[in-house]
Amino acid sequence: MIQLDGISKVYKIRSGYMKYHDLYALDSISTTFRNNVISGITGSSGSGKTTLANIISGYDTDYAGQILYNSSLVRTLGSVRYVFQDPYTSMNPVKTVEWHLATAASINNVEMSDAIKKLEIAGMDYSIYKDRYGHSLSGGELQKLALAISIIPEPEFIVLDEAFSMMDSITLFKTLNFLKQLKKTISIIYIDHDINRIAFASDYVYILNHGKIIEENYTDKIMNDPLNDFTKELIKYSPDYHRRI
Amino acid sequence: MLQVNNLHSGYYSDKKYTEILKNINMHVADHEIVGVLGANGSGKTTLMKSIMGDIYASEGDVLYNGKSIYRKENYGKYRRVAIYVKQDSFNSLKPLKTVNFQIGKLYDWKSFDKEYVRLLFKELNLDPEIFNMKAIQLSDGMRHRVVIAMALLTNPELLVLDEPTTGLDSISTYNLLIMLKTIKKKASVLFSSNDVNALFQVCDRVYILYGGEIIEDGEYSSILDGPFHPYTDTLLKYVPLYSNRNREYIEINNKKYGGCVFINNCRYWTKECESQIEYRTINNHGVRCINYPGWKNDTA
Repeated sequence: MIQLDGISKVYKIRSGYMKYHDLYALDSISTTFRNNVISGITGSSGSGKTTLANIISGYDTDYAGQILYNSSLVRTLGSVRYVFQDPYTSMNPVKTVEWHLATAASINNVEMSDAIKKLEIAGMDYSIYKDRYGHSLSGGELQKLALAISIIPEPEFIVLDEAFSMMDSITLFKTLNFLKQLKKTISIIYIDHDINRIAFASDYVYILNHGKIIEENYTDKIMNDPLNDFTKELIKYSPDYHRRI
Repeated sequence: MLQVNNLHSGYYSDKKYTEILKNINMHVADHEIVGVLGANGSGKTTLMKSIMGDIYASEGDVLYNGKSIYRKENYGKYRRVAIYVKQDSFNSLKPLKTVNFQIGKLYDWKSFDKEYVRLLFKELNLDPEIFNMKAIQLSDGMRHRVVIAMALLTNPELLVLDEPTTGLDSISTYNLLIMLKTIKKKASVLFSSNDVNALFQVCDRVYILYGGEIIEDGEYSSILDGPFHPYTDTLLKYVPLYSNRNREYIEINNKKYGGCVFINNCRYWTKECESQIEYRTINNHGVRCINYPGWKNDTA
């Protein structure tokens, strides 16, 4: 369980010579992420989704407020894993898939056979992809590899920050279905800009706007009976091939 | 207007020719939005590039108003009326210059009708304050729309968009699609995407690409009502939407290759699928499947 208590993050924006004004990327967020559910975070671009993910996973330590991991202030190493938006920066283009897996296994003190098993359940065939180089994999394949590497050390939480943006719809469907099985062992925080995808995968939804959580509820309640006007707008404008413009 | 006849195209790597597109036949009529739908690696970008004449076509022809675009005397004229907006719109603008500068450069610093520019930007729902913003300050959706608006300033007859919806949030996507509807009154639009939702919301006709071949084409409504190809059926079934929340994914792997492009993942494959498959058209709805309508009756 991750508890956030009054998290704020301020960026200083330069507005003139020696003049700065404050931009609240996150404005006193207090909420709880439960165990063994998929928590979906959504909002339009610029609402602070990535900033929140950075703070939860410990990449950004410059913030105000408190985070409690299982009601302690200390984050144990490897308990929260982060999958980045851009898979090209997290993989080495001139190394093979085998090298990536072996490195991840040796850093986390895991047997290589276990690491291969994680890759297989994420939907990549090890015997086919073993000798492929990073530069020859497509964006969707790299993102699948990144997901597999993130679950190798068996973390308590994984944070997926638009981690499936380059997949086509059938692959995405397959991967999100895999996440639904994964949640029995690992808790997942899934971030995406499309509310329909979030509602497809997650059990509990948080809606962010201008650095504030404006609504949080169970998925069925959010989709069938939204309270906030911004949530209604998000649902209305979400692309759906049944509704023609 | 645009007619693609029996097009084969591909890339050279290490002096070896790899053919990616096989036997493409398609057309775009006046004032029409045509979509090309395909998964990653199905050859969407290659198709767009060969329609623009950017890469080599080994066989076949692209005709614009009945004239081949691969001839020297027609090509220059063709590129002036057909505008190609690349997947990465950031590379089309100078990053540290304002939008005003970019528009001035478009007109080669000659005088132009400023009122018309303002009117067009207003018609496409772009704020006037955008003119004084630099390219790096614009958000992704805004930049896409500025590039498309600038393309429209040259009065094109055909607008070719390569995956315009990637990286946009839902409200920006909605605005972009509304804008395409407005553009339809002035020009034809050809746009490729791997997003089923955005494509079927706005297109009049859709071509479905798989493994470098067109496997189905038709009016959007007739494809939605009853797809003719098993791949289209799978594609429409497995869309990550809230309404499909409880659907299970069934993996199919036949370990068969050759013949039909979809043979490995098709649920309804038979012995005949391994032969060469002809493209058939039934009531303006084309399909490349030997078992149609047989497979449909199996599911019913």
